[in-house]
Amino acid sequence: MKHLKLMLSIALLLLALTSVGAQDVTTVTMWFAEGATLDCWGPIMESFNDIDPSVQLEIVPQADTWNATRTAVVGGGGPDIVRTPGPSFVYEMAQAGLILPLDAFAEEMGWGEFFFDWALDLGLVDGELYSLSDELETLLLYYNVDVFEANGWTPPETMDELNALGEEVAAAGYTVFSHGNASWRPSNEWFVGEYMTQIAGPHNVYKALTGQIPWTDESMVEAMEILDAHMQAGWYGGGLDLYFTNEGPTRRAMLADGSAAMNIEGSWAIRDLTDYHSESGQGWDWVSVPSKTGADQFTIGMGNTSSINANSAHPEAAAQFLTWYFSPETQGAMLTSCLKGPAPVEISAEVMGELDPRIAKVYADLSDASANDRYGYTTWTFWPPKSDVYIYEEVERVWTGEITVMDYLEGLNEVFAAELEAGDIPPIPSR
Amino acid sequence: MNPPSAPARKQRKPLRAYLQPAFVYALLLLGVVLVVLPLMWAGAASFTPNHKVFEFAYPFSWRALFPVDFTLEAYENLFARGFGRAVGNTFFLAIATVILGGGANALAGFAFGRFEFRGKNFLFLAVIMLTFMVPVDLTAIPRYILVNTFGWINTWQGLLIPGLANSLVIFLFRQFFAEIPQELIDAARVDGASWLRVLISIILPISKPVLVAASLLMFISQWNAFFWPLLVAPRKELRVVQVEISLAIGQYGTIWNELLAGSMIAAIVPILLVIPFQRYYVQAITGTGLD
Amino acid sequence: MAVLAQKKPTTIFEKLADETWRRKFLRNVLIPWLFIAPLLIIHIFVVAIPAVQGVYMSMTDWGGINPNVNFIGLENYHKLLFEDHSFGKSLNNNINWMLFFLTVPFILALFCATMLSQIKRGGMIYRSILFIPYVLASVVTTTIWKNLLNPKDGILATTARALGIEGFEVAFLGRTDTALISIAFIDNWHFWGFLMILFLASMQSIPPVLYDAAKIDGANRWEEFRHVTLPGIRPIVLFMFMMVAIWSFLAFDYIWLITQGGPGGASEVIATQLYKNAFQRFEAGYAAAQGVVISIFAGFIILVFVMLRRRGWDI
Repeated sequence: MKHLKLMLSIALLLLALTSVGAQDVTTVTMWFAEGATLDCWGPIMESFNDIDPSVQLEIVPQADTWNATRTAVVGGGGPDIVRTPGPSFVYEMAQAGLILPLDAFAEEMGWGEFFFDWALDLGLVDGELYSLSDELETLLLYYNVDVFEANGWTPPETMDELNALGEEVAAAGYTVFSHGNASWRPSNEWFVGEYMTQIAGPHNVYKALTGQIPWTDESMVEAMEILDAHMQAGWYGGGLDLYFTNEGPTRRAMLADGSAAMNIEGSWAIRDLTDYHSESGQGWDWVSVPSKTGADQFTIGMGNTSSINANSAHPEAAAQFLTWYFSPETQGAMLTSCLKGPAPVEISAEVMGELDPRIAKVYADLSDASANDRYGYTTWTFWPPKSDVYIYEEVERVWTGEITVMDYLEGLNEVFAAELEAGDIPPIPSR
Repeated sequence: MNPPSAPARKQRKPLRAYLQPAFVYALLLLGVVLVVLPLMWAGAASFTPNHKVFEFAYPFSWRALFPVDFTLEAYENLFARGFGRAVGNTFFLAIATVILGGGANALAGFAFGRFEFRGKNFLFLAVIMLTFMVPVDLTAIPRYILVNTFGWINTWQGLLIPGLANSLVIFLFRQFFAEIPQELIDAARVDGASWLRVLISIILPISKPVLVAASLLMFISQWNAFFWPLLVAPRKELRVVQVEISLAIGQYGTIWNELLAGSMIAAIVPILLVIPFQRYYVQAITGTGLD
Repeated sequence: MAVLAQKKPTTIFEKLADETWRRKFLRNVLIPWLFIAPLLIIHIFVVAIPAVQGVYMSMTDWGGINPNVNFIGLENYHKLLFEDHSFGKSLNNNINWMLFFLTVPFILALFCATMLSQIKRGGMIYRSILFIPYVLASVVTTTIWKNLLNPKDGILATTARALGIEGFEVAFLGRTDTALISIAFIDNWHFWGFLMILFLASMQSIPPVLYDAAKIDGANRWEEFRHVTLPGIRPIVLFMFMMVAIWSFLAFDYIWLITQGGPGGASEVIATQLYKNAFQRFEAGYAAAQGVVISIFAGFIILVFVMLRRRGWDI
């Protein structure tokens, strides 16, 4: 009996202590899609909790994350850290006062020291910082090394070489690009943006994005004509109807088992390629997507942005987490363990050295290109929302022969002009 | 039920009498095969390790219809993630919806079916039509704002209350109550019973078909609810079945066997409920329950 | 009663003092409203207010995120009906969708229900199996069928190849001429079992006497179906006609999960357009106008049925 009483009082005491402790803890919430990604990212992000017991991160697994976040934030709720799929969404939220300006935090916590200059600018809305960009992306031309060696092909450097090689690859019975948009319909836009940058050139795209030339400019027409020709020839996925039905795993398998020779896709594909190709035993490598001039050009894109909810009860703590999360150390750790596309921050050479050289080269070349005026634009990061939807929705009608390239670009002009006039264009770093 | 009428005179059945049932069974079998093949693949895949789910589906061979390397891994992972709790939550919500929503809808259905009052028809049309007609996505944001003002995000109230009003159910109750003979009610009223008393002691006992059908409808719609629970209660402790299943679909990949395993479990409950009670379901919808 | 009501009460106090009036008030006002009150309160908050807000939003330039909006009258409607060419195309797809669902599942369900009502053994097993697809989540159904219809390795292509039949290695979901009907096929695979169960249960509630009478009159199978079964299940068939017609204008999830309206808009319907406008293009006000238009179509269908009913149809 005595023991029981003693134990009870100890238990009560402990309970009281923990509940007192609990009152001092600030919890920062973040919503995240559950699955393989979170399995790897989660534990690294949660190691934040070991630093300061009074500030804790809670990751709430959430299906259909962006739709749920948007509805909740608009309705006055939602997580402390608001993640959006791109700058145009940040723009809308900032205009509505749903997320907080971050300039004071940026100054106080020294974000400028580790973010690339242009990268912080991507988060500006009317001159104020509202978001931090995450998951740096660029499109690459991947190829199956075994297939190339067996046929004596070399990776193309110019668009002419790509055209010639494509003919050869198709004639040899391979699918030219392992592709399909059934799992992610907006995939269409990858090629529209990429062909514009590589064929019309980044400077023309910049001019069009800033309203100096129309999208119906000759160079844009040429770019879209070439893309349409590639689609019509069935280079993508082995036929237009197959392009519309190939699912993600199918197209990965096509490149890995050597039934397809190449693939134009974002750097996010690397994680999958590593898995699929180590299973099939066939090699993969990449080169920059061939350009008309032969210049080594890279489009730049962002997979995600992070902001702080205006409803957050403790924005300070949220900023503290962001500082830790975007630090080169954390980003480096996530890059090496999960192959996560890093935020645009300076990651040490040491960390990069631990990576597969093919992966390290992506980020080295990318930062080299951005420093030397050889960078281009991805549609989902630099085009305003209505134009972006137009780009990937309507281009299918060009490919299915319903409208011409000229119709398509005229339509884009119209949609884009309205958004330009309304001032809805995401920040475009001047060049 | 009348016994089948006895044949007037015994005679040898013609060959056709044997062939016809065989033909019927064969046709039905064909239909069943069309339905069952895809289901078998899904069922088998839920007992297969995730990386082998598509092994025999691409290209398709008969082996895809049976588990490859049989394992309970998907079900174990599912329950380790808290699927059991989600099932419990959903049961609780669905039953609460049946009781509370059934009450509110039955009362309203009774008023619409039995009372004459000013504005009745307008009100009925407004209540029924609005819910039938308005796309759910459109009202999600205003509704969320409202629930948020009450402070009901991440609460049972927030999950439960918006699901209580169900137009189809009100419609069923009204149809059914309107056809009850007036004499039944008058007799009780003359004896001095209150309306509530009439409803409880006279009407309810003869309303089994509509009660069963309404309960089924409400139970199943709450059981299958996805979008609203996803928005209003992101907390793990309040998760419902459909949301828990959908978590298997990640941003960069899907855990197929868990998705399918969860769906199998989620499908069993409505099937077990609907099959035995289907007769009432139709009786209530066709309004012939009093025959 | 008439004796009591000789002098009509006028003021509220007189009214309250008057027994007949009190009864009438109770019977015709208070009690009905008390009965409706619980539902009405929920309904006002959950459906009516959001719906009214939806209608208001359809007359604004709301983007979907920023709460500061401008009232623009009927501009959205004007744009929708007279300028947006894709709307007509979507509407056309909705109508095709409706035609498909008002025929194929009804014929299948009637046929199968008739068959099932004749068999004596194993009926429960058959109908349970045929009902399963209806309760599967749409994510699962669409996933299964996207795989089965794969042009290279799907069940259809593989089986046809094994049997030496050519012409089935087709990307049904990737062609502009077959995408919509293929999705309708998949949605129907999931839906028709529900109709079948309804029809079957309705058939079983037809008094057997009627069939016996038909037999005595020398009716064959078809005549039996035509004169006994069909009239017996008519109410549920017509009711489901109405519901299916309404649902056809709200069709969304199967199309969204399989093609999102593609390829090249071949399977675009009003609801998928609405979703894209509201959540991708930031034109929530315009999307709301589309929602209102869908509601008007649905209201029109209900109206047609109400009219038919007034004219004495037994629906």
